[in-house]
Amino acid sequence: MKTSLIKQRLFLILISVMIGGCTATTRDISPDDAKHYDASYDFSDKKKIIDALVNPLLAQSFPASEQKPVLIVYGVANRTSEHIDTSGITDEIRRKLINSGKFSFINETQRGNIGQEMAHQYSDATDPKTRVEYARQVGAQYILSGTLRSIEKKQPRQWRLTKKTLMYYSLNLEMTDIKTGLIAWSDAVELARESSVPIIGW
Amino acid sequence: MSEYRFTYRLVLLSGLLIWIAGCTSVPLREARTAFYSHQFQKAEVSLSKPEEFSNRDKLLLFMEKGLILHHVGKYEDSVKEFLNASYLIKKQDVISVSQQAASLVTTEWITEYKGEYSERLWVHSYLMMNYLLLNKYEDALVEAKQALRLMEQYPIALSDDYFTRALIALCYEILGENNDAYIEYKKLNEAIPDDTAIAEKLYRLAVKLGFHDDAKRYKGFVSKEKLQDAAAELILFAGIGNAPKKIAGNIIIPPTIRISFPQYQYQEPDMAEITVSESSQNLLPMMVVRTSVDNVCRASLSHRASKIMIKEAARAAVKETLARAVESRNHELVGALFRAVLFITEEPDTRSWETLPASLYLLRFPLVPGTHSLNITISRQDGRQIENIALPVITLSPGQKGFHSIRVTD
Repeated sequence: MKTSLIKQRLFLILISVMIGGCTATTRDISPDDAKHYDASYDFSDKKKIIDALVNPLLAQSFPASEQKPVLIVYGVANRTSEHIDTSGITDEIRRKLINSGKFSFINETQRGNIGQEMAHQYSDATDPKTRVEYARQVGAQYILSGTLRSIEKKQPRQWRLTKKTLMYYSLNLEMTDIKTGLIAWSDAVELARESSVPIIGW
Repeated sequence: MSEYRFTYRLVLLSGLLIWIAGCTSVPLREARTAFYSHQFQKAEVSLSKPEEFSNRDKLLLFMEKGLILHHVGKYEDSVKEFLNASYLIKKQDVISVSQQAASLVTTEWITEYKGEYSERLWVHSYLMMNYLLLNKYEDALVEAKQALRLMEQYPIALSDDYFTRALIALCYEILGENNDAYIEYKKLNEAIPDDTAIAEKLYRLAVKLGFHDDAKRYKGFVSKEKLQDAAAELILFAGIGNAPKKIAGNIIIPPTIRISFPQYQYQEPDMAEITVSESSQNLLPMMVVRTSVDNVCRASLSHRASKIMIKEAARAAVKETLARAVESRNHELVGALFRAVLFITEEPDTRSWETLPASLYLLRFPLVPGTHSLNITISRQDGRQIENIALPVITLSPGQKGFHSIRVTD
């Protein structure tokens, strides 16, 4: 009788643990906290990369004639072995640089829409007094571009219970002077991480 | 344990064995039949409810659906399926103790299908093709790098996949990564029996990279017509024929021990001559690369043959122990029946990606910039079977590469 009661209780504990383990949960985490599930690129890396690149750029001095250099973003080329949306990196860099008040940016993605809007304003539908003048758009002085690269190394095949992966990322960002074609500024940030996953699971 | 409970469990196990052995998801079978009957919409619909598939066949669902969607030109949708497949393959790296233990007393069909090394590679090949067809070159290069990693991991099993190697090189080339492209073309040139197949590409890249000695060497293999600069290019992916099928191989140890293993059914090599013409004038291809899917499948399977045989032997031992235990506890007839069930259900895992073609071709044709109306003629079985395909009209600007994918089934 006593043994049967212990068995029942053990069974109930086991079921409770299993149900507890299977419950779906959600919780808010701070974007400032580094959180990695594996060695691959994630939002914590993006934040680290941006902070490491924006601060040196803000400290960079430009010729006096260029009090507020005008930049155009030509994107960060993804040369990693993962599908990474690098526009997230450039959008954030642009936002930080604009907010610093030291740089102006051409909105290259809106060029088509600007052209469309101008065409509409110069149609018969718009009051001529309210039209925006032609040929007043600002020309960019610098191109901001970069390349994100990665090197992945997996642990060689051998008897083991976990598999280790070593990931290395580097983002190179540069500003090219459109007038001279010279690289006016360049910097790079590197990240390296090792992760380990079990080979055997339930 | 009472006699009754033991027999009850025995019946349950036997039932489970019979149900699992040789059981492929019905929608998968329907989709494959519809695909090979050219009812592509029906094939797509058959695979539209992922919840109908057990986890055991999820990878097959993604691969078959991805290929069907690629064939009907829904490249974005095809990408989603193949990315699901790629993600699942990475997840399946972890060996499941429960599945392996269950398969030791039942059959390999109880485990999740993980795909042959070749099939895992072709997930990336189809992703590369899809991305190139969608002009998403950076994403194609990401897949190229993942394919390259697999080729480095299983060099013996995958060395004859010239098509994927050519695709990888193309992905590097198209993004101006000439050094990497050159390395991949060189590896392809070393693997391919024909010295002239890649020579033109190697010659041009060697010139660009300043490798003058190499350029001089490769120039000797290039015909005069091919040395003319191509202002634009048509790149054609062609899948010809039907994929090889896995069948059961058996070793019987009398009286009742059966060791079974999967093997590919022999099929005649599917050699095809693919010509592209414009106004009845045949175009001269700059490059023709072919992979025999059959050869690479066989190489992949034989690469893991020792693992299969070790597991089969272990399963035979476990089943024999079980059978003896049943015989000692039950009536002779029950024991004999149980042995019969174990014998019949010892089915090898013959699951495979069945909508693949028998051959994969990559052909590159130089074109003058402008609008082109092109026709493709595919001659098979020494000209006894000829198919004509009219390509949609394409307009290419100087330096542009136009991509197209075709598939011809038996």
